[in-house]
Amino acid sequence: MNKALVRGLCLLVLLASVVIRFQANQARLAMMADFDVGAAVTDVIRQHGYALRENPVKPPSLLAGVIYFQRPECQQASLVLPHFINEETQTLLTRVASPQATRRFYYLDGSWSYQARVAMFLEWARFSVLDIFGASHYIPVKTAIVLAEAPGCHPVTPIDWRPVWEKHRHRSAVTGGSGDGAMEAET
Amino acid sequence: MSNQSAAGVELLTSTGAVKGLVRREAFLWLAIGLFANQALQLVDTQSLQAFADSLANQNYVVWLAFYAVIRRLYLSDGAARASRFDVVLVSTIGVAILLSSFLPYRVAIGLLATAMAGYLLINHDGDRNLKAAGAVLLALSGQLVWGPMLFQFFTPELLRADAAIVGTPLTSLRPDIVWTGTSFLGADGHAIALIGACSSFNNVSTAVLTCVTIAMLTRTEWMRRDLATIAIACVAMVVINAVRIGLLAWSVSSYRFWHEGAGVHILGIGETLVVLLIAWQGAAAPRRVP
Repeated sequence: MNKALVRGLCLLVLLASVVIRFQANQARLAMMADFDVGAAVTDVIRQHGYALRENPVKPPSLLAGVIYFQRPECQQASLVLPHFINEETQTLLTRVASPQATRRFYYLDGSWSYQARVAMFLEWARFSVLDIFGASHYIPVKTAIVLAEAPGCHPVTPIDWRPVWEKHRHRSAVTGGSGDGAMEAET
Repeated sequence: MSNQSAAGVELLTSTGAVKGLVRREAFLWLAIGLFANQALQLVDTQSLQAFADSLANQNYVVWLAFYAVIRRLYLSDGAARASRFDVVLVSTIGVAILLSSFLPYRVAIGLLATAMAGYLLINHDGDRNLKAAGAVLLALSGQLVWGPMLFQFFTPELLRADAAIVGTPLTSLRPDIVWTGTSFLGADGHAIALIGACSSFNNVSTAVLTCVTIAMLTRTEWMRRDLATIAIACVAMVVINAVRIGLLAWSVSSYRFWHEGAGVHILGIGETLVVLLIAWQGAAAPRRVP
């Protein structure tokens, strides 16, 4: 092994790393671009048979992303606010939900009664690593959701929000499928 | 396993397998590998338009820091042979760069840059250029991985601090604006809420990187006043960001200009010029009083 060979090896490793990263980046960017959290949440709500309510706030306001829906057993509409996992949601929530409203945060496999940023970050890290090996059934985007429901609203059937991030549901949505398969697989 | 690796490297060096490989070249290969991979994380390669847009929105201080590291490594001793530890480090990080390319996030590259920076700072063997390259690389990894990681965990607290800096003077100038936590509500219904991108944290991180980069481009030794320069640059960034947030909260028309109009570029260029001027002033040789 001479100097030229060492240099050739270094160049090969450099080029290989750049090519692999380029491909991995393209795949990730495409995945991120296709992921529409609003549509995913709407799908999950519809699959549970709940009626959607119109959001009076329009873009570019951050509150335009809030999704309202009505549970038959509740007098007031419930709402889902998508947010980045490190985003401060308290300020936004106080503008759309009453202080007495019950709140629950959902992200991938986890759910919390408060905005557990560290736990959410660890969830993201876990599924990002699993995703490298194709072992994650979730899309590891950094978007979580918080569900706010009026006080006194006691849902009969809890909603399983995990399909929001499921790859299976996402593929079905992109190809125009109903996504029912994902729900059945999950439940 | 580690004994086997060490023995392998010893065999490589003793049999002349890496004969002629100098430290400078070994570290340059590593730095180029890190930067080439990091550059891919900084630009959008989905389309030509996206690529052009991402180039226009780059933090060019990061690219200046890339240049500073390469320059300092290039100016380091070109005759010093790579030791077995150098070879082990370069091989390990080289393989790690290759493996990390499957992970399309900048965390991995940032961690590897930190490892290389630590090695250069500790094991420079008296070569000031290597030490200077290590300092810039450490500041760079702070900007690329440690800063964002810290911000991830303390976003609400940092945003509340930013809002507090703006809130007191703004509400005294405009008593009709109601400041609550991280949001500002005007009497005309115009309201803004601070999110991650509004924080001055990233600007402060960039200010530190700029000062370290400029200082280590102009010389290889630290001076006491470098700390003062970094502090002044950080304060300047916090003040500019506070003024920006104040302008966004002022009125709808002001918000549109400074958030969506030409004001975005004015502020961006202004911030860059201010931090560069402070950094250059701080890095320049002190005037001697006769």
